[in-house]
Amino acid sequence: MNARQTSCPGCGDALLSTLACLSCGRVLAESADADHYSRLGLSPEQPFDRDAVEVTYLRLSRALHPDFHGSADDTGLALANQNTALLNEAWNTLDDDVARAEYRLGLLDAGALERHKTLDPAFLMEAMEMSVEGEDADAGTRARLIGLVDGEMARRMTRLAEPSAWAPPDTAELAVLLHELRVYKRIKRDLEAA
Amino acid sequence: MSETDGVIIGIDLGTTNSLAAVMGKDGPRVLHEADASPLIPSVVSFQDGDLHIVGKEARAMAVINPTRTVHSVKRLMGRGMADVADEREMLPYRIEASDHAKLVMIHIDERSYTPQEISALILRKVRDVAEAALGVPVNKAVITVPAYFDDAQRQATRDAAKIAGLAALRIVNEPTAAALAYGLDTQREGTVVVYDLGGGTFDVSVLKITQGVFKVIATNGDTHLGGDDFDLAIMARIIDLVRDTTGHDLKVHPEALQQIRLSAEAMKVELSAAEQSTLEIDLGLDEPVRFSLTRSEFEQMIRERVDQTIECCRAALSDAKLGTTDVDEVVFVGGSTRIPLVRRLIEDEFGRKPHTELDPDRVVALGAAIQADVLAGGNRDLLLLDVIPLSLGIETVGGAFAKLITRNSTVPSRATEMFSTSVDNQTGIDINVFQGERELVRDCRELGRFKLSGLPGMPAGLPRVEVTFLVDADGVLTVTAAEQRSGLAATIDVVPSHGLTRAEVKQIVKASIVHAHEDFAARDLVEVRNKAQNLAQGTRRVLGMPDMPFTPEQRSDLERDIAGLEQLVQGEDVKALKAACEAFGEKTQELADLAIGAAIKAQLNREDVENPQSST
Repeated sequence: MNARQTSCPGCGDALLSTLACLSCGRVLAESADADHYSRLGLSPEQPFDRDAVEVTYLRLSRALHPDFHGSADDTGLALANQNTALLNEAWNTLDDDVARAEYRLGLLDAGALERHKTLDPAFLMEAMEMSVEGEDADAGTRARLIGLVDGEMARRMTRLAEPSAWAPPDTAELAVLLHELRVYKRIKRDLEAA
Repeated sequence: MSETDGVIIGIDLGTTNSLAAVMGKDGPRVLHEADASPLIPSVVSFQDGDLHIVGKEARAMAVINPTRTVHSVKRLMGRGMADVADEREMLPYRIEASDHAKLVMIHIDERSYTPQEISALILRKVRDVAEAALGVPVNKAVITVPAYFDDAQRQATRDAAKIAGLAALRIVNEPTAAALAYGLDTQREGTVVVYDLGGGTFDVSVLKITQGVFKVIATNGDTHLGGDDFDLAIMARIIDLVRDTTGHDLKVHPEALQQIRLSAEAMKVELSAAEQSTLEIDLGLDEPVRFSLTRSEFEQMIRERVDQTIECCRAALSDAKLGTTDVDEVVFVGGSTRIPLVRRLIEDEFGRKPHTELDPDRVVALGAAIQADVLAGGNRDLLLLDVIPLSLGIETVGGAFAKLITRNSTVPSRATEMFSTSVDNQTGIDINVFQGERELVRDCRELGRFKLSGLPGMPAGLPRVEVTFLVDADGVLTVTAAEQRSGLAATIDVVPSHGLTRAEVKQIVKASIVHAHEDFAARDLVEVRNKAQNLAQGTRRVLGMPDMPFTPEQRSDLERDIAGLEQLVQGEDVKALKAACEAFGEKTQELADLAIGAAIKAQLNREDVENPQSST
């Protein structure tokens, strides 16, 4: 596990992803500092362009998928499996706005979510009232509440998407935002399931 | 792919029928014996003296020899006795729990067979048919399974291939394979729902097809819902009728039960075209028992089960976050999609006519052949991204189920979780692996248990054990664990709850290789004997011909050799017989030329005598 490579040890071309070389198709053994961003050729700072990233994801899938490594030996096949799994994990995490923000926070400050768990009592009170009101409520009330929850979630998502929230990062603020999003997500799930 | 690598075939290992297909120059095609249907009934019938037959002939034995004829074995794959309690009494052959109650065993005469072994016999038959059709040996295959098969059922299928001596290069989900065949055939793109109602299982998969990428978004199903259930429903009616009118209980007569099963199936098929079907059951009484069933009665009987399939469709669409209006095409797969009620209800649900151009019995095998071609390196344009059907996880405190990989995750997929100890100096951690969607492990399916042992004694909570789940492209799980502080990596052998351990598979494979070797030796002996007899007879015939240019010494020499050869034919020594054949062949080589020349001359002379008018 050395420092991250910038050029392919096989063909010498510049590497986009830490998982594979898109020029020659070589499957790479990752360095310890690889993360979901480097796997998809991204950096946390750049805006997330879903369509462009999906194109990269599919190109890398074609390079890595075990289907295309049928003639590899056991080690080669295991690496193809492992790297494809990492690629899928990276895509699934970054493709979800909340999961991406949680992951990004984790890279900046590994224990932030666990350390900053104390939520504003006013927020908790409001959230509790919403879920109590949602219990046994008619469809109209539930739809109104879902609308409210969506609004609250959207406000927090907008804040998370602002570069100023991350540079410099206030990890306590970000952790609280993410915890609040989790609470709203749970309320919404219950409202929709009712 | 080089010639020596051999061909990779696609195999649809079905509940009712199995078949093979291969990629040809003009696309995939099914393989079959001359003039025979490519559909090989998934039936194995055992006969005296350790012999067995597979396929159409075995199916014919179901009535004559019901207790030794195994059908629908796919429904037993990777299952425990409790899973198959419902149909136990409807099966004419005996099933019982294995020693550890983890497997269903099929008991024939004095032997017990695992479902894997029976499936292996079917796979071997399919391979034989493929070899005969292709004229080359086959030892690699892509095998399909229902998308909703859990880990144990997938493992069982892999083990069956291993026992059959086939390398299963990939396990592909049936609806996904069908989508491949459909996509390649129509060149269409968009959101496709594959509705696959087969003999024993139901699957629905939602896929997005774009530029050669076949991405499964969600899948759902029921591995215990299919045409067999409809047959059983009709059977139950017939059994009730016979009991009510004659007082006879057909359930105690395996032969009668099998006859009724075939009749019920025939009625079901007839009701797809006719409004009514009538059966006369001759029990050797004064009057045969008449049983009539109208299509609408039949539809009432199966309505609930078909509604269940629609619930599965809705669940899959909901997981995919799509509505029925987002669906561009519905593709029908499986013989049971021929039932008019199924066609009607699905058309109503999706508001569009399902695709039925592709033969629902063959499309899965064709898709498997396409995937085989991808694996062989023949096609790099297609990319198949499939998912796991059910969440995978482990048991935590209080019997709760902690999901590590959620359902509909794209495979290969991986997840890691940290564990620690709960008491001081604890040296081992038990890890129990489950699959399912419920909150408590007791409502999920247990896949296996393993113990990470040999941990160095540390205060409680200090060890950091990282457990990694890796699901490969076949949807099969491997679990590894390592203690981070000591660097101890666990050598984990998951003890499957409803499957064979690696050692057990090895044992069966070994036993069957021994058998295969014996089989091979026996076949070899038969071949060499034939060759020797042909040589002896041919030479004797030549010696008996008039005007042969042999000296008396050559004659007696040859006669001695013929006698030696014929004596060896009586024995069992393949090696000696082969050597004698070779020596004999060399010796007669130069004489053969002379003999042939003389024989032709003699032949011409004889013709002259027999047909004087032709010689001028």
